[in-house]
Amino acid sequence: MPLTFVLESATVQRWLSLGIHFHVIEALALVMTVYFLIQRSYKLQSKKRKSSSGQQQLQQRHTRGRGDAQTLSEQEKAALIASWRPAPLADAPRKAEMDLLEANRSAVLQLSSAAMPRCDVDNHKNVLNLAATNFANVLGDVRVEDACVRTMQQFGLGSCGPRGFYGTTTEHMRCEEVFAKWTGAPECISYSFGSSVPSSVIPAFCKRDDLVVCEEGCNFSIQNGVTLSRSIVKYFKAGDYDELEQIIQHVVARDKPRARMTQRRFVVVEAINSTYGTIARLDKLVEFRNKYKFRIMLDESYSLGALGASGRGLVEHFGLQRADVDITMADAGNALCSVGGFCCGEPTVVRHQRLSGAGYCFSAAQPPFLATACVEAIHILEQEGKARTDKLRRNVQVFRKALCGEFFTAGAVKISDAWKVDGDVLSPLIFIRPAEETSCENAAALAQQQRRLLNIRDALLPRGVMVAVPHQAELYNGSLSIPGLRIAISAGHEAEDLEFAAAEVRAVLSLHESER
Amino acid sequence: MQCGDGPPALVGVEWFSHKGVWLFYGSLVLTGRILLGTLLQTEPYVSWTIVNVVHACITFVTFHWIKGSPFETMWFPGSDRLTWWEQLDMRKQATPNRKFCVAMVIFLFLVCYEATPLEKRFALLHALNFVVAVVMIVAKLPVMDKVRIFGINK
Repeated sequence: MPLTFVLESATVQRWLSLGIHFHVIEALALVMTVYFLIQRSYKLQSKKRKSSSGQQQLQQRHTRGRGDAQTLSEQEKAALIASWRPAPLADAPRKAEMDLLEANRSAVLQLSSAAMPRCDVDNHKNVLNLAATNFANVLGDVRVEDACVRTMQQFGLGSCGPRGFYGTTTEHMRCEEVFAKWTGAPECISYSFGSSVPSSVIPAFCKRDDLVVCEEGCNFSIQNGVTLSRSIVKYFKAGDYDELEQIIQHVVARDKPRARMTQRRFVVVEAINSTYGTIARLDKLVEFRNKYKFRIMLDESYSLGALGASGRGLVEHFGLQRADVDITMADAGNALCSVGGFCCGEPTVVRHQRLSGAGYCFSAAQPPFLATACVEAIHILEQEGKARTDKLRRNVQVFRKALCGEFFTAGAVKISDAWKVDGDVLSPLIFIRPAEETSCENAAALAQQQRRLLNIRDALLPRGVMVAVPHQAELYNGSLSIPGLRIAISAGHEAEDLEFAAAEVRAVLSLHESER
Repeated sequence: MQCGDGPPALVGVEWFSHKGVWLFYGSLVLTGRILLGTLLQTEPYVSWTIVNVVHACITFVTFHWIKGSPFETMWFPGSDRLTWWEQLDMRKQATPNRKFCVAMVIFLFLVCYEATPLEKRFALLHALNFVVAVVMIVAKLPVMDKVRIFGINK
């Protein structure tokens, strides 16, 4: 038996033969050790604080101080205060950045009517609106307005509190439910502002040492969220899925087999890229996701109401399931023509954000009537989504054909020596950029480009066409995309108007051909 | 969930909570004992006593005498006036780390006591081991927190 073997060993025999006093001391030591071991850990109370009241203590500290406390006379105090010069909180912006800021600021247009497909801008009446992202032409719909008025009569403008703090109304909850049902996700959370969705959702899930692979040219909010998350960020060229695969392969290759994965990996893409207008290849992404194990965050801001047979976005466009995308984000400010944002996904994904989504926790809830506007817009899209998206697709085709000529199906097309059109054939967002690859790595070149584009926009206005020039902000990573004209097609436009607008755009562009 | 990592831990002491430090500590003591026994060929009771006394000297200086931290402590301005032992585990008492250190002292004393024959000529050795153990345990008691006896090492 092993026990007898142990008992008969020399050491044990010697130990057993030790005198009784040894064992007494042993027992004492054991008791002492046990006494120390069974104690619960606790925090020390300050001895001084217990003995003296707060006031006394304060006085003591004042008189005794930290050994070398000195009392200052009033004059000395005044001299010290007068000599203090506060350091600036941030460096003053450089001149080039100021130029850019000034260029953007001086170019603000004022609408004097609703942003309908035809609207009044400054003193130009009845201008064709190619600036608003009102893809499904829901804006100004009587049904939406009536429902909003009803909600406003019932709820007013809401409590102005955050969702978790008296801000939630039944309208918000109905809105979340309706949005989730419409997109086919199990659950949905609504934010009060579209731009706060990616910048809240990304930091809620991605933490330090996690990996985020991001598409170049994604919107400011995504880039902001990625920066806030402090994750490792890698960018791939918009639409270049080989590069994406290379990046992921490079990361996966360094994984230890059978080791527990502690790094969360995300690929963040926009369904329609807000800088280039390319449509994300979701089929490829899902294939990569299943192969390399990462999660997909999809920003459907520009694709809802624009892509898919019935306007349900990119997932419907590729005939996939909503569950193939882990996290879907959307801005209600585009096709839904309201204010707010959504994030939908699995219940765990959504519920995590109710305590961790910064924009959800710390921003006042959207006014209830804006939630109603979303609900009504979704109802309209549910009923007429097919007709409206068909019309939109026809309009996009008409405009692209008129703008790019016969090669419009190629996606990115050069329309003259100086100008090219970016984006996917189906994308209702169309970008016109200078054809030659000008480097816009510094703000000065950017400001110059921006001014040139704003001149073109201003030249188009008297001709009855309004286009947009998106603002560029220098981001933390310093990536700047070449600015361009943004044209947003709506289902509310008429084919002949679009043909006219395309001709006008071409005419003005050719006038600004040589200008640098 | 939203917050960051908080202020950095006290670099001077937080290593003691790392994985395997107890094992390292224990094996360091054991290695000392084995080296003494094999290289210097000392008797077991002499080796253990030397280990006990040297351990006590080293830990007394490093744990209970030197104050502050070799690293920047801007987050814990008061820690410049505290010894290593007082800074340990964010000043919490009776933590596993502290219990381990006390148990180590008691273990060393017990081994010395049992290795040394109970004869009159070894009385001095027994006394030495006992005093060393008492001093080390008292120094580790919570009562002695921030206490500088007779203003020594103030």
